[in-house]
Amino acid sequence: MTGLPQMTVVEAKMVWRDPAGLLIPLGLPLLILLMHGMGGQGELVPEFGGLSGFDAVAVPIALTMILAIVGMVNLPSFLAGYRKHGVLRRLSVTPAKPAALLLAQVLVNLGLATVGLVVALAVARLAFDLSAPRELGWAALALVLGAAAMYAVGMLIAALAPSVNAAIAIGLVAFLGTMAAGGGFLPAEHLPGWLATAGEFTPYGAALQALRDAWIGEAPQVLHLAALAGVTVLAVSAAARLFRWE
Amino acid sequence: MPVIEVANLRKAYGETVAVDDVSFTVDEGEIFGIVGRNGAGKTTAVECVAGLRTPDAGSITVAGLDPRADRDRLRRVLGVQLQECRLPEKLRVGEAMWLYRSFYPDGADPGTLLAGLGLDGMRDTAFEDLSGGQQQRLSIALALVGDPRIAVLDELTTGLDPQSRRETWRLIENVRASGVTVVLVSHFMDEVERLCDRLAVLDRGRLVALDTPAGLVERVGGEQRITFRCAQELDEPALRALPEVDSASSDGRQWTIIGSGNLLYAVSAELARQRITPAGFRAEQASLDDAFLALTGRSLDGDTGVTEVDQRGEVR
Repeated sequence: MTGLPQMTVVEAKMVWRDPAGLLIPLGLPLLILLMHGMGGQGELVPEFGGLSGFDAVAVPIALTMILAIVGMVNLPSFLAGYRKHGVLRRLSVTPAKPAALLLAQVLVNLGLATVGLVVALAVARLAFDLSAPRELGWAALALVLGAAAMYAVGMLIAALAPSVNAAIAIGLVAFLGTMAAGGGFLPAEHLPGWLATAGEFTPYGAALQALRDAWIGEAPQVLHLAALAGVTVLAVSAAARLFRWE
Repeated sequence: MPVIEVANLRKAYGETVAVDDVSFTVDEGEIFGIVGRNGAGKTTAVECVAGLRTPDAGSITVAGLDPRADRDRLRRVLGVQLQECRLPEKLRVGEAMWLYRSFYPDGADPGTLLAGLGLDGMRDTAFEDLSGGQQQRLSIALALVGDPRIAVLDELTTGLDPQSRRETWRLIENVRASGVTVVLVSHFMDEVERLCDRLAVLDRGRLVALDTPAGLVERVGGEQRITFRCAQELDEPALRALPEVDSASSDGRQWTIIGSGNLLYAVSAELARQRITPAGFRAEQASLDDAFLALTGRSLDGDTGVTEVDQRGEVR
C-alpha cells in the first residue's frame, strides 16, 4: 500500500509529540495496578486457582483497560480530528489511500498498547511479584482478540461521530460503560444478573473474562472468544460502510 | 491539444444545482482560470475534474483518463491543492514533504520546491506554528511534489499577504514554464488577469463566458477615457485627428479624451510631440471586473475598475 511505512512513521511521531494522549491509556491502568498492589491483595485465593487477587483480577483489569482506552478513545479521537481538518480529504487526491492512514493509525495504536502492556506487566512483576499466566497461549489470544474488538469499535465510533468532541465522548462512554458492565469496577457477581450477563459479552467484559481464565489456568469460554470475534467483524464491516472521508 | 475536456457537466446536491451544463477544454501548457463568486460552482467543477465527485450528467476526460474510473492513474498526473485542508498540527514541513513525496514513484525535489516557495528555513516548523500564508504555500508545495502534468489550485492566494501573493504568482508562472498545465480557481480579478491565458466565468452554476482576459474586457466595450490637466495651449484639432480618439473636450482646466484601441499610447505620443507636460494624467478603461459585472450583473470584488497611470504611462 503506497506510503504505508512513511505514514506509520509520521503517525507514530504525531502520537509521540502529543504526550497528553499517552497519559490516560498508559498512566491510569498503571495507577490501578499500584493501588491494588499496595492495597494488599497478596493472599492466595482458592477460587482463583490459588492465585492472589492481584494476579487473577487486578492485572487482567488493567491490561484490558489499556486496550480499551487506546482502541475506543484514542483511535477515534485522532481519526475524527483528521476528518474534521480535511487531512483525509487532502490524502484522497494523492495516490495514497486514506485507508492507508487508518491502517497506519491502527498500527501505531497497537504499538502504543503494546508498550502499555509491557510497562504494566514489568511493574506488576518487579514490584508485586506477578506470576505468569498459566495458559500463556490463551492469554495472548485473549489480548489479541480483545484488541481487535476494541479497535473495531473505535473505528465504528470514528465513522459515526460527527465531531472530535463527540468521538471522545462516545469513546469514553463506550469504554466506561463496558468496563462497568463487564466487571472492571465491581466484581460481576455484585451486579444485577442481567447486567452481568450482558456485560460479559461486551468487548471489555469478554476480553477480561478470557484473560482471567487464562491467568488462572483455564481455557477461556468459547462464547467469550466468539463474542470478541463477532464484535470485530460486525464493527469493522459497519465502519467500512459508514466511514466518511470528509 | 486539450488535456482536460469537460462536456455538459451537471452536478446537483439535492435541490441545489451547483453546476449546470458546463463545458470547457483546457489546453496543454496553459494556465486556465475558473472564476466566479462564492457558490458559483467553481469548487464543485474542479472536484468533478479531480474525481472527488461523481457528475450527475456530462463527461470529463483528464489526460485521456476518466476521473472516476481511472482514479488511481489520474492521481499520478494530477496535483490538487484544496481549500480548507489542514495537516496534523504537529507535522513538520519537512516531514509533510517527505511523506507526500513517498506517494509518487517519480516526483519533484522537496528541497527545490520549498526553496521556491520561501519555506526553506521552515523545514522543522510544525504545521500549527506556520502562518496562514505559509500553510497555504506548503499546501501548494504538496500539490506539486508529485511532479504532476496538471495542477489544480483552488483559491491559492486567499489569505496571503500582498508580497506572498506576488511570490506565489511567480511560482505558478515557473510551474507553467516547466510544462505543467495549471487550472486556477480564483475570485481575484488581478490574479486571473495576471496569470491566466483563458478564463471560464461561472455564475450560479452556469458558464457565462469562456475567453481570454483581454477578450472578456473587449466584450464590455473597448471605450477608454483619459483625463489630464495642462497649463499650456493644446493643439486640439491635432488631438482629435488621431484615429484612436473619438472625442476630446475641456472644461477649461481638465481635458477628457475618449477613444479606443491604443488610446493611451497615441495621446501620450501626441502630447509629447506638442511638448506638453500634462498633470494628473489618468487612464480609465474597462477592467476584467467591469467585464465580470457586465456578464453576471454583480461585481466580483470591491475593485473600482480604474487603472491609474502615471505620466510616463506606466501602470502604477
